[in-house]
Amino acid sequence: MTASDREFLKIADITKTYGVVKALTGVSFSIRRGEIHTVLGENGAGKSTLMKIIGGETGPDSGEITLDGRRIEHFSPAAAHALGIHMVHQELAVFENLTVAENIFPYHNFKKGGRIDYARLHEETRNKLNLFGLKTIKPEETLGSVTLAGQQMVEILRSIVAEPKVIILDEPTSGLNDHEADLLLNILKRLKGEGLTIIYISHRFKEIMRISDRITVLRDGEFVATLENTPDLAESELINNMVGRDLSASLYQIKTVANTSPDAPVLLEVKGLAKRNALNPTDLSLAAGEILGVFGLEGSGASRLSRMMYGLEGKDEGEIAIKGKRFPKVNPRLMVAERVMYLNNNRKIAGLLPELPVTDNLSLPVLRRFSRFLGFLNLKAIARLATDFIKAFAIALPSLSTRPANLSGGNQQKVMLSICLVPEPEILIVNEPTRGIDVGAKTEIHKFLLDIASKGVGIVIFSSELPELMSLSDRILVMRENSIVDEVKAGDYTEQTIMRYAAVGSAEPEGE
Amino acid sequence: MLGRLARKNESVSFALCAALVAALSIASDVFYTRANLNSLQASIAPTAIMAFGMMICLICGYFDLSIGSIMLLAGLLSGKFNDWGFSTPWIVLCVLVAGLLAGCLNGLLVAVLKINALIATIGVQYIGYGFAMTLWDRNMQHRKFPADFIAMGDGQFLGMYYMIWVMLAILAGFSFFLKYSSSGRRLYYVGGNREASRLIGFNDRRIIFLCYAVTGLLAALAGVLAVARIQSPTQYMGGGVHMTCMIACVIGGGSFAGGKGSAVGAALGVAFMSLLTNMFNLLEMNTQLQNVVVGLTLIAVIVIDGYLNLKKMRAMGKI
Amino acid sequence: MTANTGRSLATHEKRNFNFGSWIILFLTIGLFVFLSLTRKNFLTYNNIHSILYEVSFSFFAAVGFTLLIIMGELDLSVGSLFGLGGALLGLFIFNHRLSVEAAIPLAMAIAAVIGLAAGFLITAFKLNSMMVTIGVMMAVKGYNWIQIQKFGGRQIPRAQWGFITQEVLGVKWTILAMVAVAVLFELFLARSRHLKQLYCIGNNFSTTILYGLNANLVKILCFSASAALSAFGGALMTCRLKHPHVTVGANLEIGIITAAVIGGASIFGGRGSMVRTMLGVFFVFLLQNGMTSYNINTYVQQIILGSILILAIHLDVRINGKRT
Repeated sequence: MTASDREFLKIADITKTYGVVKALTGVSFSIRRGEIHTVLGENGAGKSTLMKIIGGETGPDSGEITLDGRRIEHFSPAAAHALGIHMVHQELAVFENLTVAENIFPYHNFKKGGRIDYARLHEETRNKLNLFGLKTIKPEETLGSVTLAGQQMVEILRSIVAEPKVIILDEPTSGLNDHEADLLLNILKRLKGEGLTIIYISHRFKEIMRISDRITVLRDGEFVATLENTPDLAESELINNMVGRDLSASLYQIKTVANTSPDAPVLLEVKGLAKRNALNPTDLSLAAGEILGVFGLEGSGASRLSRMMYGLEGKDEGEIAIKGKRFPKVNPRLMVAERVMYLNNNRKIAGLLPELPVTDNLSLPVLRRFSRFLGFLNLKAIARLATDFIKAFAIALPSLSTRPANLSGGNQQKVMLSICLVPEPEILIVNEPTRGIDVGAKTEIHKFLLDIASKGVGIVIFSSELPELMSLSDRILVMRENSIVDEVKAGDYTEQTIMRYAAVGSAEPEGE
Repeated sequence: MLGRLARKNESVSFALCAALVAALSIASDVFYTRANLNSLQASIAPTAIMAFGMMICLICGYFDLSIGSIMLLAGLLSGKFNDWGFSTPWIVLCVLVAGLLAGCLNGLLVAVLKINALIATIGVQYIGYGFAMTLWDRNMQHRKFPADFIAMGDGQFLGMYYMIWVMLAILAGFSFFLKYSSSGRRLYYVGGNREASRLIGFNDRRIIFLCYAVTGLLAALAGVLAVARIQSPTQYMGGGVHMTCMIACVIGGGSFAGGKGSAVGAALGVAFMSLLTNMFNLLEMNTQLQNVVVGLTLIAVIVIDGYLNLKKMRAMGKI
Repeated sequence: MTANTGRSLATHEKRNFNFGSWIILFLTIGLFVFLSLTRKNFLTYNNIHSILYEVSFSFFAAVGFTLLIIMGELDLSVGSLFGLGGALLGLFIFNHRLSVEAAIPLAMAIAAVIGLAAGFLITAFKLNSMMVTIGVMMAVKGYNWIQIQKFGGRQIPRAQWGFITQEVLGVKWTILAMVAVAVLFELFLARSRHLKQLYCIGNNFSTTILYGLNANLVKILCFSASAALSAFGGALMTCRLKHPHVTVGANLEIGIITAAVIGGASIFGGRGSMVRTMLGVFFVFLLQNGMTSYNINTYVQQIILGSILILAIHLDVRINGKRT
């Protein structure tokens, strides 16, 4: 193997920052020609950002990428395509209104006498589909009537027929069942055999171990290691690399004793909550003053569980009981009335009124409380309330009429948490409480959450940051493939065990 | 019900047309008269020509509410150019260029300046109407067009008006374009998933701009043909025709969500709407009552279209 | 950055005067001064009064429209519902021999039901409000024509329309009513729970759902109110004309959108004010009055007004479009 083959795609000292958050810091490694190279890491480790840079969707702040010895100058999807780099996103970019054939060949290369030669187009498509063993998919079929797995395959095929040099697959198996995933992996092996270089992103350890030639681990935006996938490679080694932070020196203090008293009343019970293809029947219960952590890697169904608990997403079965009162159907209005609040994971989509003053934001869930004759609001009382919360949460604000859009991420997050606390909830469902904010604000928010719990509020935290959960939670539920697979109690926390449950599903190392 | 069937393919709008023809031939003894068939042709051809434009916009996920005004503008401009002594080819050429420019204005507002398509084209409709009416004077209707101009509207070939042949030629052209040319297929990619079409390297904004430009051109062509048929400009041309076209396109298999539709569907949808109007006229139904029916049909079509899209999104778990 | 203390925060809580959002005031004053200087019959009590009198009717079609645009919804049926007020007034007075006191509320109630239905369809099926209200516009407009044609230019008896000419201190009461309604709504929008939440819904619909607001119900009610108030304005206008006429409310929606948008509302929602919408309507009428006094053809006026609409929306897209 020549040097240029060994360093076919060379990533050198790539750094990328979003606001205060460092997504990538000086990442360097190389990908060989014709290998399947997995990039592994927790959510937020920087995989997606790195892939976006390689795929040309965004440029790095510093550092460079060379493909086959040539430095990449321009970062745009078109430029990447021209160089032979194709990216297949986790969210499908397909055309459900068109046929399978047209999805695979959008440029309609097959012409006869100036018109599209549909017979040839379908023939070529059928050949491609047969080549990859996808005999059940018909070229003339509308893509919308094909299964999700089929659509995924079709999108991958669209990239492959363009004969790329490098193909990036972002969680391609996330929507597939075992059989379908198996089929896809075989196809990838065959493509590798034909000389294609594949960058593969997945959380499924079995798959990774089965098809990768090498595995690069990223953690907190930094390069950790590139490992050869030899038969000696143990899952535990990967997990150790993913989570191997020195927590003793970090800001997180791992909780060793649960703070809840055994006779604390049960506040919230979820019974048999389920939705087809989204969540298997799930139970959980939360006691007063307890912090319950829920951990899951991307696609584990954790975030969806949080939304379904609050009635933001429909369910097929199951019910929710709040302080013994049973609700077969829930919606946010009912939850707020029952003093349950929800901290959304994406403050850009919902959770704030970005263009309205902070006072309006804070009073939103409790407008009724401040309304007097004819619905007129006691603006003074609202200002007082807002001032109290701003002081209590140390939100840096020029004035009460400042709009959240003009605040930093950390302060926005604090405002959002304040909105949730204004109605004095008894139960708080928190989804990714510290995503994309600086370390200072992070610690503050952790302190607030612990403080609230000590006053008897029950909190369910959904987070993909393991150290955060371990320092806050009295119990951690681990989710994998739409089910809760295990429960770990404070005192038994180690990153390795929890990550193993989330990634592989069993605590014992599998036969090597 | 209507919408769900219509969504399957053009055959449904064909069936609807056939049913109306059957009903009309039984219920009315004047339906098959030469005069009625002629007026039916003269109503179908210009509307269908405009509907082709509306359909390509709908396929991209957009609409154009200004076509009625552009049609009127074309009609009155023909009169104006005639007053100035232009010969027939020049009248037609200049009017088509004007229509193209109006279409480009729509394209500029929607595709380049990213103004909401509904407001932009309503604004252009309003401006276009004002502009057209500044050209209007009462004496215009008494001045004669050259004989060769009128022949465009009045002449027949094999028992059908030239405009029907023009319409059929455009139908054939668009059917080929939308089915067999790569550029035509791109409309479906843009309308089906705009983000994804951008990712695979299609220039969505240029495509949308061109659709509006062509729609303006077609509306002007329809205006010229219609005015040649009536033999003199009138200020009532083009009123409400954008609604008729929109409904016709959705009945003919288009969707407000974009990504579907065909030229044949648009033509059949227009045929259906024209037959319906013809039926109303034969039943001597008030024109304004027809507008009520059209408005309610529009609401029904929008609701059914929206309901089906919502159901599809739910089934895919996107909501 | 350090956190402010509570006391310094409270002193900062003064509404700061925003130049951009009051641009309508400067436009109106500018046009007013221009017309006063260049047209000698402009600056007379009678002329100004008669412009305001006209504005006062159309304003009622803009009230509900403003509430809806604050929530990011556009109601294009206001013009035809304005006309419906007149058509129904005629129907009740001529055919059912009702008095005007009964006819107007009844007309408003019928319009309210239409608005309710439209609002329900829009929220339940997540439809584009403009599309649906265009359909409503067409259907209602057709009905207005049919109904009004049947009256054949019949006059409303003086006993019924007489109330419209009442004056208080030399000012027509509808003008005073307009100002009162604008100020009251402004106050309620800024201060009351029920209307303040419109800004929240318009600013971020999902956030209001997340924190338990029944945003869809609010929207439906506003569609209904918009329809009822439009019909009210149209009925009053018809009283002023003394007979129902088909041109009542024709193309009014274009003027109203323009008025609301140059009055600082955004088609993206979250912005808008009732007093500024009123100024916007006044500006549009002033412009038309001025153009007429310069003998500008009505169709040219239409071109100019349409261009202003597109320009205003373009600026709105440039300024507010980035948020979404």
